Amino acid sequence: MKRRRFLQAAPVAAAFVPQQQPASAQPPAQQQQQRPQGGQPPQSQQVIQPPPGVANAPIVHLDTVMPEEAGTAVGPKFFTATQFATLKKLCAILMPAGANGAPGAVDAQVPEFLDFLLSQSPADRQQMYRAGLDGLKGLDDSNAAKMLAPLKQTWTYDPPKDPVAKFLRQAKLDVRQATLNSREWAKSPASGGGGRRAATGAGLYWNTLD
Amino acid sequence: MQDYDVLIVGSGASGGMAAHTLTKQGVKCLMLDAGPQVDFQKDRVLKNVYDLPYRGFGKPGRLSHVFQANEFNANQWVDEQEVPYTHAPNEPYNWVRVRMIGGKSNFWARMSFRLSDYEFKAKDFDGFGENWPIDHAELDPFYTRVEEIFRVSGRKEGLKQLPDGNFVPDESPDSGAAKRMAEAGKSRNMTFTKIRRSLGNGQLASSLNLTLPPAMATGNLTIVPNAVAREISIDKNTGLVNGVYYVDRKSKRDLFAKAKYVIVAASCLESTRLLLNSKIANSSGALGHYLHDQFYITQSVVAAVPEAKNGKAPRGLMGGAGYIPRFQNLTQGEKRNFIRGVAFDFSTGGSPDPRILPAWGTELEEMINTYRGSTISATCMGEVLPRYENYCEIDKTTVDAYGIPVLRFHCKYTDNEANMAKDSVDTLAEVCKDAGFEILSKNDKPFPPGYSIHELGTCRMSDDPKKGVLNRWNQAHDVKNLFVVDGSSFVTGGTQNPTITIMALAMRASEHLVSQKRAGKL
Repeated sequence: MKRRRFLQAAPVAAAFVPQQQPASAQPPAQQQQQRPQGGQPPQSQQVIQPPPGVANAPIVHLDTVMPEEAGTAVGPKFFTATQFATLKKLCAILMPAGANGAPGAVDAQVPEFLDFLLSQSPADRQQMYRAGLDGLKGLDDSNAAKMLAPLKQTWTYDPPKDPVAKFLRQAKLDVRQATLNSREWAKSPASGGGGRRAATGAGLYWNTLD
Repeated sequence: MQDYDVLIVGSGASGGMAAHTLTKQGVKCLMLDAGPQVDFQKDRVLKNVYDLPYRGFGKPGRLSHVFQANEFNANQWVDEQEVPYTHAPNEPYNWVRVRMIGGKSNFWARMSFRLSDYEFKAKDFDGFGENWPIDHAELDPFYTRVEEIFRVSGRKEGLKQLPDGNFVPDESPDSGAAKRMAEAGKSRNMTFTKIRRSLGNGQLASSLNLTLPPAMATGNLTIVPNAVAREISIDKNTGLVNGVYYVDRKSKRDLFAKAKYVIVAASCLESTRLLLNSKIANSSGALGHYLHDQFYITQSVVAAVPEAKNGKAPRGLMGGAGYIPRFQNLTQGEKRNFIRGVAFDFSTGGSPDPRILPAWGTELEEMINTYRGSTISATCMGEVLPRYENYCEIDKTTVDAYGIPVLRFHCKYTDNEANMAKDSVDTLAEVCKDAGFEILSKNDKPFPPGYSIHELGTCRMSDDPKKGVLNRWNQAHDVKNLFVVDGSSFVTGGTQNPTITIMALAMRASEHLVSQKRAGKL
């Protein structure tokens, strides 16, 4: 029941949007209808009487956990060991753990998650990540300021031509978002307000339509 | 089998309004929609983002053209594998589609602005393209009735480029930041208005809750979900429409429904696809052409109000949204390197997108905290010129999951759009600077065509059967008992969100159909 209680307590924040959306083009349903629908009984409830002699036991909904909660990631499957080591270091630098108990990207299993996400991503995105991580080989705390310098440049709509700069721009967003959207973040004091405040998203999920 | 007077293809904003208008007058209607009926209570469940298999990022590559898609809403959009479309790699087109009862009206942003005679009579003003066969005065009574049904909120401003409507009065005060922008914008001919928005009823402002239920209540409407229209059928002897071939989405069984009239309201590009696949109503050669929309640039200007940084905004300084209607080329002879203009909508009191902040790690988080609640972000919405060269056609090499040939797009923005975007974004950034705001980022590159989900044209109206597919009543010149009532009928679209105009046209066309039918003219 722990998870269910948390779900009820979770702030009903704007649904996470992986890319920046216009307020105007965003379908309004997500923005205005972020209210849990729970607690209402079904409209027409048909009570089926059990045959005589059979106990009338209600069918309960069992509280379960997600696959990733029960195990650890196998891999890396997409990145080479060297690329993965660089990614792990980059995650630690881009999104370190916060003073208020906020997990960093490494605590939030972001390197493992990105290895999985990239393994299923379109070829151009895969290429961007591989080229960027190869270019950042040897990244550590002493050279980080120099190697990440492209992130200090003024943002422009057109992505930079340099493959490392282009990758860094994407990685900065992906690493941060994957951290904020993690289970670890949601269960840390950081998501509850104060300090590094960033609500973990909850939203109305559309089931597969019939 | 019951006989129907009118078969309506599509149940969105335009189809819903057609059904609402016709059934009230006793006309028996059959409505086909390609998608299912959804239940907003049962088909959506509250979930935490971390319980989604891709942590909110969504399955990679699944909806590559739908920038609006995320992992929560992925199932509401048309699957690009199920119903594909094609374009050359260097000519991207973002066709965003919804197939369900209510269509995109279940999700629209509800912006409800009327077109003005700057659009209806655009050729008279600057010589480009064509005028609409109608003007604002002619559509005014229909706008008024649509605004009543959809409960459009707004503030009367008396602007020629943005006619006032039949509003639920919006008396909320403007924020201090918006007032400062308005003051600074005066010297650039900018006016600042309230957003005009369909309040609807409860959760939705959709055909699903506003027009279809009253139509059903008349007993004159039959709705068929999961019926994918394939081809409109013509009686060879009369040259008139006599029904529609459709496919059962679940079984893929071919079926045919008879009708005396057909109203196509399948959304701009689906309607045109249906007509092209039926090989009808195209003696003008205009079918598929003059494809236009509004180019969008979200976060075109992001600025911070210094007094509001670090959470120190005094009450009333930030909050709320506003709208800047067209401010360029409102008088003839303005010296600019483009014709027409843009509108902006903006929100105040937000936080900046981390991507524009030149930092990472702890420094980035501190910067976000500094700017939280202090920013203004504007979306640029620019008029796209309707050009013959921008068009869609049937791709003879590709069919969808129902065996129906798909569309291929040829659409590019030109210098007029690029110059307009640059001038507009530069001007708004200057206004923000004059208002004392700190510019955080600026972008004047339009997103790919289609992004605004305001696709228009491709089946345009004209009094001249050689220039347009439809006459002034949204009625096909070539086939008198065929009407097309969605955004495809637009001659030019201005900067205004089109839905309210689409619904006014659908209502007007439907009443014309009834009067013609009663007069025995069809």
